[in-house]
Amino acid sequence: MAEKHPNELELLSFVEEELSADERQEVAEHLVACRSCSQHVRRLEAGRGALRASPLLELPEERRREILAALPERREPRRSFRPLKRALVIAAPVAAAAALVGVFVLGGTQLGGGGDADEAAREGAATAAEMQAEAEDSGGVEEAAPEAAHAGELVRSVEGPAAEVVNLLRREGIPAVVDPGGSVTAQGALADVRAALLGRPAGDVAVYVR
Amino acid sequence: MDPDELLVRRAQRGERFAFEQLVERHEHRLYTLAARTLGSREDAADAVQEALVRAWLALPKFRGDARFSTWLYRIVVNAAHDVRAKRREPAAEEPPDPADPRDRFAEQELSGELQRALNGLDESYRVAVVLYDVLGCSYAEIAELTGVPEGTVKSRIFRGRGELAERLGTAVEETESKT
Repeated sequence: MAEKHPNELELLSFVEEELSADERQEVAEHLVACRSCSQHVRRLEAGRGALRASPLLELPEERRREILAALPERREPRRSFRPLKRALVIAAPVAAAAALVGVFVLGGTQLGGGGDADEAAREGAATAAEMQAEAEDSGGVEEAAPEAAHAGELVRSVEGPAAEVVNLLRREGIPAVVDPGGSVTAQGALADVRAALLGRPAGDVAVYVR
Repeated sequence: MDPDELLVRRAQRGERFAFEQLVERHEHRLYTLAARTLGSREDAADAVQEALVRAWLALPKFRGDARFSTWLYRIVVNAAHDVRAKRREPAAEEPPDPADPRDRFAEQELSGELQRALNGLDESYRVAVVLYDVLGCSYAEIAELTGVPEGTVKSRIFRGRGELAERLGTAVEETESKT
């Protein structure tokens, strides 16, 4: 019996009670005869026990408040397309085409007095927005494309994360938000922002002032 | 149906209050995931903050293919990975600093030991066992959010738990050669 050991996935399934009655019986018989496998099973159970007995850790209340207060403004994708993002290489022509179709349909139905024009135009815009979202890959939220065009004046690039930089500025009384591209925009005098960032090492979070 | 669905839809339309409610529902799980992965409360709070900013910004793109919690966990795992890379340090040797006096309870002793043991594991094992055993995710969810096949997830849980038990000294003394 001990010659053919169950593999690690079978042992895990045994511990998690995911095997059929027959399979379970087979492994159980093997365990009686095999010290190595029964040790694996005991380790699996001990590791599971330690993890499941551990309490959830609580995010401190004041951190939660800070985090929520520091959430940036969000530009809604249907109303504005982010300029110069990588995804727009694909999305922009689609958006333009959709807009054209929208205008066309709108014009046509106004003449004919139909009621679906708005719906069609909205659908066109939504499709373009979805294309943009898809091009950005739903899982790739961690990639912040560099902001090529920014309305503000660049102060300097500092070490992130961006949300931390925002907190730092706010503690100095300077309103600040994280931009969609991952940079930070502060509202205030350039000198104040520069002073607030003095102690911050250089990094890849661009800080702009407006 | 995903219990978060209604709030998610409202938050997608830009309602901050809906997003705040979602945060309240998930914050401790997100924080636990980050803290157990990073081994530091401060880094964990930073990772959660970064993750929630990313989640808020990316929310209009969330299509509900996965559960909302799974989607959030993925963002936290990525944010925690980034925070670690920024710190350019391996997992801290110390357990999370009990800076908050409310956490100085006897049960934290256990998690102190547990954290030291977790810190010794490979990051991918740590993420897998925390998601599976602490947060109760399924193999399929973990596979989806870490981007590896289910078989790999199971193997990581097997190895992660086994190594953890050895480090905790709760497993059998004698170790034999491989199966």
